[in-house]
Amino acid sequence: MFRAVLMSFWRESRLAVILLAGIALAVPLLSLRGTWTTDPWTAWDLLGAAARWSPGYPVIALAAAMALAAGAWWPDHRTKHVYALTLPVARSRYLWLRYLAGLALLLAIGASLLVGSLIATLRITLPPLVHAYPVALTLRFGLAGLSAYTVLFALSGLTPRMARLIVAVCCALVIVTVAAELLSLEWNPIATVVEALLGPYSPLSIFRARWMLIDV
Amino acid sequence: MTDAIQVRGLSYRVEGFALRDLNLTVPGGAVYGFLGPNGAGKTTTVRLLLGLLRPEGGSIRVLDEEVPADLVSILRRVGYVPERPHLYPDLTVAESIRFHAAFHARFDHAASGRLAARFGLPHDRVLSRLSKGEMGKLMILQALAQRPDLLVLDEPTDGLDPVVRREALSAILEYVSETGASVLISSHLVHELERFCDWIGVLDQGTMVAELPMQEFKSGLKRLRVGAGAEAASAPFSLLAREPAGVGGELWTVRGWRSDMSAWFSDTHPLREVVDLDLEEAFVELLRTARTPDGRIV
Repeated sequence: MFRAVLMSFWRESRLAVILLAGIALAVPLLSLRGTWTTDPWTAWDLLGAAARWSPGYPVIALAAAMALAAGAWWPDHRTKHVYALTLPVARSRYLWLRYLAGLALLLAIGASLLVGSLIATLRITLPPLVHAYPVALTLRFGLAGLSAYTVLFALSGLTPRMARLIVAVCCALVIVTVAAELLSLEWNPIATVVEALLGPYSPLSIFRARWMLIDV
Repeated sequence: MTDAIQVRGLSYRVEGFALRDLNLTVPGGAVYGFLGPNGAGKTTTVRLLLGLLRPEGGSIRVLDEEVPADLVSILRRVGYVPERPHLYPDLTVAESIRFHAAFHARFDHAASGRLAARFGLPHDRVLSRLSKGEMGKLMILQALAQRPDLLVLDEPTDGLDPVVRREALSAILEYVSETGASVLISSHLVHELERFCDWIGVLDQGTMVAELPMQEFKSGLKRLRVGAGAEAASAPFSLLAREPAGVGGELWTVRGWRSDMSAWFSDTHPLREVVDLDLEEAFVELLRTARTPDGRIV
């Protein structure tokens, strides 16, 4: 069953997966491309090059999570869930099959990042006190992708009624924020929500971490 | 197995529509034609049977198991062809068949191959590019190849051309005669069901108007031309409708008619003619007589 669901997921999302896997492979290679010359780089230049490209990794993780979460329920939304609901499998199990199939494709993108990072770091001579972290970067990518994919998978599977409810809550937040601004209250509900989502103890806080392929 | 489907006191309500106290019985091995005009509630009933909707009240037993408690076990044994295409549109025909097979342990790959060849389905074509007829045939192929004990077909040939319709129905009939499976087939195309159903249920405005063996439905419903003034209270048949027809005559629509009942009429109120109703006429008569003048169900 899992293979069948994975195959159907792949058919739906293959273009996005191939594109994102290609980008995940290319970014680490591009970030250290200058170091492929015969002249060794200084630690400072190397860290600067790695830092310039570091925002790219969480963006790829988020894009992968979004693409896969959107693809997870797309065929079922298109067919009004009739086919899925008439398959002889418990609904919770079907949900897990879909979730894990998306995760498998996320892993493929992560593997592509690992390969790119390993090739990029193996081709350079690191100055003293500077280290390469291809595995740590990939793990961070995996965790970030997993967190975002899980949240977005749940959101994309919502019923239209629940989706409307969430949109209504978002609209209410905007209205309250504008009202608080007009009344000169020192309170910003949107900032509070963003902080709750991306704050130090939130599941998505990993997106604010240090995403360095080369670091001290 | 006694009954393939047994529904008792089923009720369901959505805005502007309600199923009321619905009773439905599909005997094991029967081909049950579920008739009704558009909007009667046939698709809603089918969806309730398959656990796609949650009823407000009543009980549903399918293949001797309870809906929704035993739904997974039931769905293993039920082949379903819905009114509208429900298969994943980005898969190819071959992929869709493989996907379906992965979920059905009894899936017969050889039968699937034979049906695909018979229907001329293009294996590599993506489902979103199939014609309506090809999609209909693929849904029937998948439902039959999973070797179900019960086929639930919701307007399976609606909108198909006569050639495709004939092919699809003959494949279904062959499967049923080979396996003895039960069938619930909903349709508003009465003449289509006439050929092969042995039971008929007629639904109108969410109410079951009649449920009876096809033979009884076809032979017992008559239109009688009788002399005016006959009193029908003691008649051995059911008088469904009575209306004036010409000078000194009346037209009766009756149910439960047998030829020996003509002796019941007297010389003063003679029976002048017995008119056979074909299934479509019988269906229309049944609906007409079940409704009040303002169109509601009695």
